[in-house]
Amino acid sequence: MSPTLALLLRYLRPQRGRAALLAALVAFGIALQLGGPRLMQAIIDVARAGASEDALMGLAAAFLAVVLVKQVLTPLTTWTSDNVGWTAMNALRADLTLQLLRLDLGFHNSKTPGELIERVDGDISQLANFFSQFTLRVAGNALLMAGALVILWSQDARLGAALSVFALISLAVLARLHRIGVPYFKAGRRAVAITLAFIEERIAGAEDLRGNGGLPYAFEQLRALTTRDGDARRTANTIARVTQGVWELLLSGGLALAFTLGAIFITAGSMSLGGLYLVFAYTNLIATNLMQITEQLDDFQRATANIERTSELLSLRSRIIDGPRALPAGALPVAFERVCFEYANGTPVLRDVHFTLGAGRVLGLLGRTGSGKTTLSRLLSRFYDPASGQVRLAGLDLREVDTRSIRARVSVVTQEVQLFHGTVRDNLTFWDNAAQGGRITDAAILRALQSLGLAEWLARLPNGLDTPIAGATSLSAGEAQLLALGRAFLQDPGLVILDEASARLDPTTERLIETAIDRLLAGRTAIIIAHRLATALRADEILVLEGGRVTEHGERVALQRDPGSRFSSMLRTGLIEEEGP
Amino acid sequence: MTGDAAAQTRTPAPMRDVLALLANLVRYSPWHYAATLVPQALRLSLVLAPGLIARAVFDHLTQQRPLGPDLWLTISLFVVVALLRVGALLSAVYLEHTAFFRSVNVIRMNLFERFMRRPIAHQMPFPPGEVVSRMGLDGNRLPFYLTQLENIFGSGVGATIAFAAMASVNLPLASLALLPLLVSPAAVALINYKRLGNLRNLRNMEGRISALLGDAFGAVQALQIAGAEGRAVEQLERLNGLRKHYAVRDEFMRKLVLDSLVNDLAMVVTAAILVLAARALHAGTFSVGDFVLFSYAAARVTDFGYYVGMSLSQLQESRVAVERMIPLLDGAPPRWLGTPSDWVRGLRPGRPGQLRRLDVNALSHVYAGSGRGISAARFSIEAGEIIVVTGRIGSGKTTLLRTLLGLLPAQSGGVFWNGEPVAQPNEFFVPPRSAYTPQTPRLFSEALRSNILLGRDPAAIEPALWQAVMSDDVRQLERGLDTLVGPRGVKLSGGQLQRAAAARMFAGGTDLLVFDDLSSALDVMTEETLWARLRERLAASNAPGAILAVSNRRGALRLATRILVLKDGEIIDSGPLDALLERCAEMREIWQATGEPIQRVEAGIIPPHDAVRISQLAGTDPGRDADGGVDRAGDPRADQPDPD
Repeated sequence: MSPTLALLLRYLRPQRGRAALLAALVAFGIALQLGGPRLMQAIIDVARAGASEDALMGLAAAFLAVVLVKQVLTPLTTWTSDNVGWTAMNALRADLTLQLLRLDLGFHNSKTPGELIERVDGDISQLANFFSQFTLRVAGNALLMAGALVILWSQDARLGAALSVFALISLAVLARLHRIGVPYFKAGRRAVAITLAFIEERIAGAEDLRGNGGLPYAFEQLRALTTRDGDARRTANTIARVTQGVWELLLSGGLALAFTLGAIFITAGSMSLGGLYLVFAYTNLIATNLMQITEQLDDFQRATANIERTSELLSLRSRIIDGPRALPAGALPVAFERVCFEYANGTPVLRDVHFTLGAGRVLGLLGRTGSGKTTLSRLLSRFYDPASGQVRLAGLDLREVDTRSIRARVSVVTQEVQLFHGTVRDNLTFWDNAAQGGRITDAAILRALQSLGLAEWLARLPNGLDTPIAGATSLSAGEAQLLALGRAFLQDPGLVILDEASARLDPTTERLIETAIDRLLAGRTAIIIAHRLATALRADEILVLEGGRVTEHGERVALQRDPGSRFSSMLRTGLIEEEGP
Repeated sequence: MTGDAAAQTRTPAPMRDVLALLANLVRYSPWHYAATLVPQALRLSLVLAPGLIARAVFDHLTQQRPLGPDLWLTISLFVVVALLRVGALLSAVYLEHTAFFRSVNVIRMNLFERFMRRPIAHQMPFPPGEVVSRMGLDGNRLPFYLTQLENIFGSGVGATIAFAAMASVNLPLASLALLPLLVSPAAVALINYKRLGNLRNLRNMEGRISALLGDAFGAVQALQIAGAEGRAVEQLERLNGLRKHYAVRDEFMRKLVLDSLVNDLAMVVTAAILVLAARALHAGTFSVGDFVLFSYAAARVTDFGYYVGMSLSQLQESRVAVERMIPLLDGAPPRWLGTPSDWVRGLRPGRPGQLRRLDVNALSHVYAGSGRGISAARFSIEAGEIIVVTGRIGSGKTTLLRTLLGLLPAQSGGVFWNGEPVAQPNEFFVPPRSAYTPQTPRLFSEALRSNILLGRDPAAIEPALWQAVMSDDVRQLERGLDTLVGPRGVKLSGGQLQRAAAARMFAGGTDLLVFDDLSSALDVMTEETLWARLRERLAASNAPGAILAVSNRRGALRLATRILVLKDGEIIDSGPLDALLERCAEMREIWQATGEPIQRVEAGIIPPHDAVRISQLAGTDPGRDADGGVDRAGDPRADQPDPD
């Protein structure tokens, strides 16, 4: 089955009732459309035959009735079809978003949010008509044409046969043309997504651009992008219309054929003028519907382009494959067994990393920038799998564990705090709060904020936990860090990874939350990554990474006392560097 | 809730704004729009041709004239007309899109420019996702309206010809066809009024969905860590459900009027005409050919009514689009969007004279919501100085920098460059005068090289990398400067990202360097090297420029020629480190907090001989500095144990 059809069936099946109603409405509409000209033919023939006024008026009244019924039918059909279309699109959007959000960071590190917005929302918006109307309209018009041909056959078999042959040839031609615009539409959509992604990124980084004189450059780039985007879409739209052009030509050929044959038959006396009118009316009917059909075909090409783009995303598989097992409750012991890792470009980041950390112990992870500290923490929360070796929590190889269980039991506080536009409560709980029918109560949130020393800050907010984060009351970088710690508190993890967690805090605030961190770490295993040696002094053990290798691992106090250890030398040089040579 | 959100973002647009903008768009591309009219008119005036051809054939047959070349020629006209119409169609589509995208692009460029240059860079009225939705979707509505207007023109031409043809046969019957033309604008105007509120809600929801998606994809790592992907999708489904509600309603109202009322009313009228025509046919005052022509032409006249109604309905959509763009315009009138401006105007200033002195006088900016900010900040910077701003979290450090640079509007006070008042700081503080690196620097998903250069002279890159202590890192990157850094620079480590941002600042060759907490992700050694090189830069140059930095780190505080201590939005003291440590309690507290490891050292965690060395060395100054800089050295007393 083609991906297009498969997608259609998948999202229409859950609403088959409504889809069936829609089909019935469309079929009825087509019957009415066919009925109109048939009545008109009767009017012509009756009038020419000189029948009574009453017969004529009867037919006219029937014609008016058909029109009036159609008037009621149209909005009803619209309503039903929009509901079907939107329901299908929303379901597809939800599925695609979930799929994308679950993909590994390798994917997200190469796609900007702006591009993904456009693919989830923009691309799928163009499928509205495809889901609700396309099949019905195309099928309906096929029915209409078939109906017209049948009526013509009944009027005049010779004419019916000739026009049927013509119709078949036309369909064959169109079948070859129906995809002509698809690659161009794809290119067009790609160009749009790139432009919007560009805008999104530049807006988010407006301060950086402005402060560093990057605006003229950004304007030039945007001008080039919009020009390319416009050109690509103009090409797509023009080429797609070639299909409509060919349709129109074919129809005019059909009309010429019908009139030629009609003229011959009428002159020969084997056909009525009303009969020829019927041919003309039906061709016009099809021509009027042609407008619709070609819109549908235009739309179909657009939809096919978008479905192909969407299917590409839907078929992506995260490189992280869930295992069946779950992590136990309580503090988690950590073990790295000969772990090697490299990112896609092939430069080794971790080389043969081998160590264990007992449950409830605190490890200080040290190393210069780029030595692999953050990568090590990403392996622990299973954003990546090692190239070789094993990462174990509570003795389980992470590859055997359900990712959800890892994410629930391992909490990471990163340097860059990712906030979203919502209330403070939503940001702390990721919508998992009692107010929205979730797990975490306001009381629990308040307790967490209290222990972080954020109670005073909360009290100052105009609407407490309901205060939206964004705009004027936006958080300072330090406050955002505190909020990230609050998230970790609420998660109740068995392993806490603080990656540069205090980098943005000023020393005063840092001191303020130290008790809070103590409370967070109590009864939990922890890995603290810090460039600042001060933070390392909280650790039970110290591990030093250099160029992706473990160059030292041991009890902090012992390493500190040993003047030959790297740690004590780092303490010395670190401080000496700071004080001068 | 949705009503609230709608109320927040609504700035009603009078119709005159919409029309002025439309007029400007046409003025910007008059020939492009005019050119589109030619094939449109050709195509739509030929709309009647099949009807006329059919009448000729019917009349030929009714008069029982013999079959002959004249008839075949007439019939072949069907195909000739179709060829002309298809040619016109393709040219019309091409030209229409040319005009459309010219208009779309000028609106988009203007919106982007206006948005990027507005003073309040930080406090965006909407999340980036929503801004994108407004620039992308709402910016398209007016150009779309204009291209649809051409349909009115084309169908108007078609309707006139059709009416003339019918009138030549029977004027009273033909006049009947004009009836729907009167009804449809009235019907559309009536429903438009009802549609407006719903349409606003619909657009509002589109923006919110875009914002939510932007947030979710931007914070995907946090969502995954929290296992909240499913809940994010639930939020999306909720908003999607609301959007569906508004969208279906909108479509229903639009179709009810346009398709059902206008179009089908036209069909009723057509039917009535035909019934009357049939009576005339019966009476013999009407030929079958005339009847066929009427059945064909009446619909063309009513088409015109349809397009008029449609256009009125789209005018309403344009109006809502303008309303949604107004908040991005920062006070400029909407019509301004339709005219291209010199987008780089004022962005590449000449050097206004080397920085000798910068004075900040009573500068204030207080946030409306929280009441925090800075008040009456007063200080000056002289060439060659390193000024470090220090203070606790929320004390107003970042606000001070932003207000000075014009990224936030100053509510009072001003800034003076070499004694001259700076009228528009947000336009003034750009390279080569100044460069700025914010607290959370952002890179763009391009190559490292273009992130640093931002279109500037490539020769600037090596010195900038050296200055930012990044040359070694670049050598280690597999593709060096061509490395794609990923969205927001995610492919670099935190430290690399900060130094790449620093290199970007240094590549400008500017007088005043302003940076906010630059070294927060750097290890001590790298940070030290960076500061040392900064200092060399100032010392080596005979036109030194100056540095204004926010930092609480000891390395920076020690290098500062002067420190400004901020507390609750006020500069409570300023001066060299040792003087401040002596007289300013807040400074002592900040200093002692940074010095925590040393206190622990002295508490016996680190062997005593190290501690002694540390306190001895604390007083010395890096030997590289030519001017000795004893005054900048740290005060050993500060390293003495905390009283408690």
